[in-house]
Amino acid sequence: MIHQFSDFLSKTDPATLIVYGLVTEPVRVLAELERCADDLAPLTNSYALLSKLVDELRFSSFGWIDITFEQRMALNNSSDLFQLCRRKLLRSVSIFSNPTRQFIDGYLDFVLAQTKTFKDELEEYGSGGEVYGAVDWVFSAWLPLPHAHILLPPEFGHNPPQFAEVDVAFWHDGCLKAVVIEDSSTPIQSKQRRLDYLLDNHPFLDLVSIPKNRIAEGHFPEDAFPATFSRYWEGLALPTGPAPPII
Amino acid sequence: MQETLSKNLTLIGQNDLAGFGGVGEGMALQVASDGRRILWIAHEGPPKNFCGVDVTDPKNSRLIYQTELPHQNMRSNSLEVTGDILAVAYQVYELGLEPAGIELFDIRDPENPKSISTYSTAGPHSRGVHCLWFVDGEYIHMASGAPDFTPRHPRDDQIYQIIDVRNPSKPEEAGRWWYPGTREGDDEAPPERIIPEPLDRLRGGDAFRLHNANIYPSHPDRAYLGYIDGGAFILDISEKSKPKVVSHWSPHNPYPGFTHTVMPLFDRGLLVVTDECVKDDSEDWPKLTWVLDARNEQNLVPISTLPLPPVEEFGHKGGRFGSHNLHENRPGPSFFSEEIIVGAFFNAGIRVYNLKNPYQPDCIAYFVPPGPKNSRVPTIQMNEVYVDENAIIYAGDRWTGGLYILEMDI
Repeated sequence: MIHQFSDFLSKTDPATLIVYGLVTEPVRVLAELERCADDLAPLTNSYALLSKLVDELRFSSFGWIDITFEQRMALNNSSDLFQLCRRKLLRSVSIFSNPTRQFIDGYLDFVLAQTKTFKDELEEYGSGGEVYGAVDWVFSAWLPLPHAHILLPPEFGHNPPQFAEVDVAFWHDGCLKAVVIEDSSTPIQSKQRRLDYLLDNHPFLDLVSIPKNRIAEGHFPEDAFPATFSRYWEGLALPTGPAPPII
Repeated sequence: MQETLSKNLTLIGQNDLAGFGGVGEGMALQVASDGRRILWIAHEGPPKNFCGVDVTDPKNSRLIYQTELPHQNMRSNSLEVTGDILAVAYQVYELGLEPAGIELFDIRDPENPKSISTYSTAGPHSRGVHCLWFVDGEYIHMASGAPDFTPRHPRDDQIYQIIDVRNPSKPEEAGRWWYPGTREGDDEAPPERIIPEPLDRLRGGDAFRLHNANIYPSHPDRAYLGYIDGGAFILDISEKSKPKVVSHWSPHNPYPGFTHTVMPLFDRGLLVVTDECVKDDSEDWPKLTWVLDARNEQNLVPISTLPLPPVEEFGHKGGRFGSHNLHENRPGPSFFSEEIIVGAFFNAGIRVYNLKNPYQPDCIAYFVPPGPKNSRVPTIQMNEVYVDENAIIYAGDRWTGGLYILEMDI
């Protein structure tokens, strides 16, 4: 059953299920997953099932984006591909959530700008610049999961299953980075209880709390994240793109 | 004896306001210098003006102040508090009477409010002020007649006026706006009436006048107006002396008028718009609360309404049934949420909605107590609602029930 996969407190096989994107009732997604629990991919365009088998989620991770043949044929270069990634990702952000949209927009601008800021370094990095250009490394950036609903273990409540919500989640070095955009909203008890439980009990979680005014006008608050977040290419031998053609 | 209907709301306190339990459309919370929390409440009508209730312990509220109106031919339906200044709206029942306008009080000592100043809008065609908004300590935004404003229709008298109270002892007009065509001498044609009513009745519907104006310090260049039968307006008030229309939306006709509140949810690009029920026994059904997509503020698009309980169950229980006041996310010791909407719906009580999915608002809590004793109607008539920063709800019955204090479990 999906609960066995998704229990991040499991001592033998801890896993974290994140339902993300345009989700109004994550329980419905969960019910769908339970129907095909024996054949679950670790990442799709609506959920991520994170276990010790999945160290990290990057734009180059397989499963989050579907690219049609026609879309692929329209791509001329890596910049086009990144713009396609941007469009697809932003489609999973609610049109009625300006702060989350601003955060994702700012983040996408930032990771792309890094390929220009560190152009010389990237062209010499890995296998060198003869095959790959600096911009190709952008797909090594960490994949943001907007409107992340993280399934809580049954001990918190299971009828119906309970989810904690954060604005954006990253899976980075085997650790969940839970981004919460702080505004002046009064905490809602039930929502806060679920979030507190997640923060208190998830074994591999960092809370990244960002005041809303720090993401205004497309700014990405780089200093709220570890250095490896900005230098996302480090440790990789080669850049790879998302959604390689299936042959 | 009716039973209380409730879900996820618990009554933790009640106060009959010394037997004068008719609550108008004004509630505001003051945190006094000694730490006490005083809820200031406007009364629905005479003989009382306003009162102060110590809600420091919401389970044991205590009336600490209650005052009389100067005469019985007037009401003070609306009030607001910013810091230690209380602004009260005065509206008369006959044109030309006084006092009509606003009065400011120093409430540093809550047991002894002291008048700071008055600002008169009395005149031959004015009833004075019905509703006011005062959240920044600088400007009062109000629905009022004016001595120099002659409406073409007697019920179109209360226009949008901005009063500069930065010097509270000397309020001054900073700007005004009215629905084009409603003033004698306007170039525009008068608006077509929605549901015409006799001209000799000043109160009630069939009016193109302002009800609520909501202006938030985070967006000081925008005013959100509920203009009764005129619908919802967004004004650019970056130049207060020259408000300009940004956009306008109205469901009237075919819907039966009386837009009351236009509340923006800025981070979500939404507006919540109420049409007030003004007639008993569902005579003006349906009075809805609309959710508008306002991402493009020049093109407002209705996307849903807050679901109400069945009309067959509530429509003929007595009194009004439908939308009215919302908790308005005002600054101060106040609940703020762009997902959770709390409203007063007359005989449908206090209702709490989750707007996470604005296409399908969900009623997640409600509280409908029995009709209070000695009321004019057999049902509760929840008229006003204020939610504090601890999510404690303060609600008022229109006739006799007084103050109901509720705890949310959501």
